[in-house]
Amino acid sequence: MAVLSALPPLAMQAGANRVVQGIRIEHVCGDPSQPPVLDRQLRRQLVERALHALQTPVSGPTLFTVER
Amino acid sequence: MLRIGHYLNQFFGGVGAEEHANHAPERREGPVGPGRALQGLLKDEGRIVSTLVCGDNFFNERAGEAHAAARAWLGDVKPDVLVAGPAFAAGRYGAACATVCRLAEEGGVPAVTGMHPENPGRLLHRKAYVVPTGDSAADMGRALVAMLPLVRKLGRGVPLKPAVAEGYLPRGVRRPGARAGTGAERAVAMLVAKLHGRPFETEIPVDAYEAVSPAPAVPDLKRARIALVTTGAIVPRGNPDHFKRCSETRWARYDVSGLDTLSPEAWECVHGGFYNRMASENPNLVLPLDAARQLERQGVFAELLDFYCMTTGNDQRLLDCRRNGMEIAAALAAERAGGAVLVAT
Amino acid sequence: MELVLASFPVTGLAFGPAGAWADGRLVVDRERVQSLVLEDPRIRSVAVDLVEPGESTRLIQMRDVIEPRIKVRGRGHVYPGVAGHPTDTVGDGETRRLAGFAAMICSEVPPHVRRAVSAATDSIVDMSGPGAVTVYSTLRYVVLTIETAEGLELTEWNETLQGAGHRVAEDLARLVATLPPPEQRRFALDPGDDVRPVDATAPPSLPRVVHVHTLNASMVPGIGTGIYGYTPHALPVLLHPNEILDGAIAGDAVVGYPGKCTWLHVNNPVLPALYACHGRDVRWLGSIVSRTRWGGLAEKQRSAYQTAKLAAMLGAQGALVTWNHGGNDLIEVMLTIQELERAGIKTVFLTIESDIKVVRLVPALAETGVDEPPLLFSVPEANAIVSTGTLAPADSLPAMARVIGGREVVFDQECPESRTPAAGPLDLEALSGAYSPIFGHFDNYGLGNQSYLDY
Repeated sequence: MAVLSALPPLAMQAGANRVVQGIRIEHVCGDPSQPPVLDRQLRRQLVERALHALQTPVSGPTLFTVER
Repeated sequence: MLRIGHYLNQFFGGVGAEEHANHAPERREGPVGPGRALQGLLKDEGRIVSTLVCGDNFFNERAGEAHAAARAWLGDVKPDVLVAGPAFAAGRYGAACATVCRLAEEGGVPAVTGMHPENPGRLLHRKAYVVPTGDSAADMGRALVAMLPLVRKLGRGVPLKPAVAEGYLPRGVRRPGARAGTGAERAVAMLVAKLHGRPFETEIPVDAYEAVSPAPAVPDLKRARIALVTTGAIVPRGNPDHFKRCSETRWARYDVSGLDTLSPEAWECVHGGFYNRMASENPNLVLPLDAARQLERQGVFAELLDFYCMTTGNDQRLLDCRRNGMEIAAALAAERAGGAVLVAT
Repeated sequence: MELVLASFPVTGLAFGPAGAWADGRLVVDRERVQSLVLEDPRIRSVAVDLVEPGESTRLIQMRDVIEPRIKVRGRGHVYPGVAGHPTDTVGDGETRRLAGFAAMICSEVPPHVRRAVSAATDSIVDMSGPGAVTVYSTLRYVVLTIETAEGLELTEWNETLQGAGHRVAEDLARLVATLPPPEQRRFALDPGDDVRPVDATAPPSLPRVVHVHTLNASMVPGIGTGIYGYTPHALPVLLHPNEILDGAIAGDAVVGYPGKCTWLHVNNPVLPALYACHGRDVRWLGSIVSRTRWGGLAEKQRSAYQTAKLAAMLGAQGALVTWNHGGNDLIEVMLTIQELERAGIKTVFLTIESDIKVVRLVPALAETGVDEPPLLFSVPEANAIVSTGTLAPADSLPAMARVIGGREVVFDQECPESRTPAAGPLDLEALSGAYSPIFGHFDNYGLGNQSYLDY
């Protein structure tokens, strides 16, 4: 399982081992202040990162980020 | 006159040292070894009617048999209270003592043990009543004296006061109670003490959550079925199942088969812990179905499950979180999900 | 800055033809209060009631509680920046207060406000019986039950109620503006003198401390607790404690959580506790107010970084950290503690114990520990914590002879159509929604000695 969270310290402290840095609490998977096409692109990148995390062996709570 | 059962390992039971750590559980009548000293302290208040002696290796490695023997012994002896050890710093002995205490309590027999505060054996039964001891048997005399009041109270069914008042180690259970001085006064006093390098005692010890073993990496994503889960309370518009904005106990699954996106006409966000207007205007921001479908169409993974799972992750009790997590995991496993993406708000 | 706070205790209440305070007895001119409230055409009607502790009275639908205060000497106006008051810096001169007494604003939350602000909840205060567990059950009140015009937009509704409450509070405080005060306290703090000791090689004689007063900001624009009336999230600001004593931090009339209450901010016990220690055990440098409940991690971290930097620039060696809400606010509070400690500033954290809903003080509902962590989030550096536990009745609430503030309570914000008559016995376990409905059920700043103990 990969967790997409705006607050990785919280998720990692609770024991989540694959954590992807989300955008903000109110819109973890995107940015509505951006034009829709950029928001969707960002969302896709975040989900891709989560899928990448699923394929990555980890030994403890690990943070994955998306470059913006 | 209290009836007391006493649990000892091979060493304190007089069988022998490390070479006898495989000693099978053996009942002896009356007090043995340190039990005699304990009996001396008890005088007419109580009688150690039976002692169970078991090798530390046996207890830890042949757990099934050892537990059965301990239960049977307790069932036959029917003590008012069980005393285990004290185990001092011995890890396997501490583990055995903590476990025997748990078995006793499960059978309705109150129990008390003693060991060094850092004995890892404590972790086997956090709620055991453990009297803190030194790290070696040199502390035996003092330890037994310290254990005595708890033996009496537990044996008589007297409700116990807080850990610091009764002399046992905190058991991971906290209840409302009054302290001396107002919170503001205590906070200022604690700050002054800390600044002057004087000892102070925190009122909330900060405990780590349990570590979770990482699941192995998904070996072949292209062939994996992927599940979407969220604690961000995305629900069909109208919230037909009345998910609460806060303190929800349940979880649910909602069908998304054939949907390419979550539209605001059909879906909404009912989470009460953040400003949820944006998530209701575009639910994909919390449950990224549109992006997941795109990646599914491109063959990045085999397919999305027909449903997603949700709850309202806001002020949920840990017990509910754990249970929901297990049930959701079971539901996803039943659908042969190879991996899941959980969006937390 | 030096503030003289003159207190006029209120030990008895009555209506009378002319308002006056004498020897603890406050006479309230009911018609005058009514017409003051009705000055605002957005208010349709108002009922004015007097309430005292020990009565069989249940107060409901309170939106805020305001202690009547008036500045008789010195700069500015108490409760600056709210209700149209000027924003001049406050905290010096002389301020007078009616102690043990407050104006309480009660008004039913309109459906559109309830939908927009989940924190706009209904609360109750029982003046006697098992429900009388908070400080609010020990005060005397003039209760203004206000019916506003329909369809007021959220910020207007807030302004209308706040304005009414402050108009009445000020008018009552004016009654003691020229009387000889029975009690006076002097609050003097000049942190500037001691930040840079004259002899740089000499250790300062007293350790220097800051009060880190984190303060929830509303995620809904235009409402919530404010600093000089400024409500939005913002970078941390340094306040003199006397500014807080003069009402620079004030609540709104919308949100319902315990830490918002205007009365609580001027009566924050941390302030007199630090003052008692100042010059004796510590040198108090001031109060840093950092907003909490930022939406993203980067913003939470930024607040933590800036707070710690401000404390370090002041030369703080210690910090007393408090917060006034629950939930994810704790993340930036803990990050702030972590940054302070990393900067070499020793912290103590004064906090409620967990924010699970406790509506009855029985082990099954009130226990915390391994199964229900006392804190949602923590950092290893938070090694000095004081817990104010939680406040809840030990028993079900009985029927009350008098209900003021409305007739019915919405206990579950999720189901606003479900309204419970407030007069009867109330089984809070069965009725309550996500939060305890007892107003002030969290003792954020440690007024009492209730806590949690390890068993």
